[in-house]
Amino acid sequence: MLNALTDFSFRTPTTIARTPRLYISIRDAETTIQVHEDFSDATDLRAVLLPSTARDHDQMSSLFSSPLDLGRKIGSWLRGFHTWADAPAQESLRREIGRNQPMRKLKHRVNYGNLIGILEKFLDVVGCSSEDMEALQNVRDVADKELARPPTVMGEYWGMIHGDFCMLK
Amino acid sequence: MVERGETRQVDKLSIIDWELAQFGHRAYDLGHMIGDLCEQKHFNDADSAMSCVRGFVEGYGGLTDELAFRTAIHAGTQLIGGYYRRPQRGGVKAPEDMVVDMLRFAKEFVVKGWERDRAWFEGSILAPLFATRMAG
Repeated sequence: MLNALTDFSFRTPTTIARTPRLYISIRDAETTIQVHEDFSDATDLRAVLLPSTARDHDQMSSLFSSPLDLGRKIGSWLRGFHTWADAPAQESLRREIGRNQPMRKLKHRVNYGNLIGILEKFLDVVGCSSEDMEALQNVRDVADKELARPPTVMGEYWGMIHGDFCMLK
Repeated sequence: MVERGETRQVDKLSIIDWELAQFGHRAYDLGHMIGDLCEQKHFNDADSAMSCVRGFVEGYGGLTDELAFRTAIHAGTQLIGGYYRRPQRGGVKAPEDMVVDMLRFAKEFVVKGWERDRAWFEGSILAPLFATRMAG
């Protein structure tokens, strides 16, 4: 994936985006070693949006665009990535990433596997009508069915995704 | 991740953590980020997070109704799943009533998303999901 991403170049007059370069990858029966680029001078989005002191706030404001503009840039990058991921040139990469079933199952479990169980701990205070519960079960059932299907085209909006697109490093 | 730009106008984005790259719905990427930002708004009263949500959706080129509802559902599940990721004890543990409030609105994101209740979303903090239409 990291090697393939070197072909995805995203650059505008006000945004430069990059992904880590892969330096070493060793995978055999005994060992899995990967060495990739570290962006040690970068900070995470949370620290930019939530500076802890007034001084940090001034510094962040002078170094970065506004939260609205940063959001626009990140959204624009994500659209660019999804479009690139959908292109015919990425066919073999999509097949390879499609084999990453363990991570697909992990994401499903975190988001949909525990959904009802967590809410059931708080039923009396959160409030959950029978209609709400039915909707939650439907959401979970759809996600379960989708997980059971092979990683091929399932319609619009389906394809290769980042899978952990969050604001913290 | 955001890297310091050399000038005020240029931002460097560093996109990391690719080990979960997988076959999935685009709403999973959109909803994960938006769920995280809503969490910051809720627990840290960060209005900046909601400005970021608005920009994020605009930058993506807007959403269709289908993608917006699905994104709202995923953001809700992200927040609910986050219950286990939050500190369960110690000084940084969130007050119980704040956690319950979070679960309450996250559940609504999922339920109203499933019911495709656009009017409800337009009066919620997720209104930006429906403000910009994706070009066909």
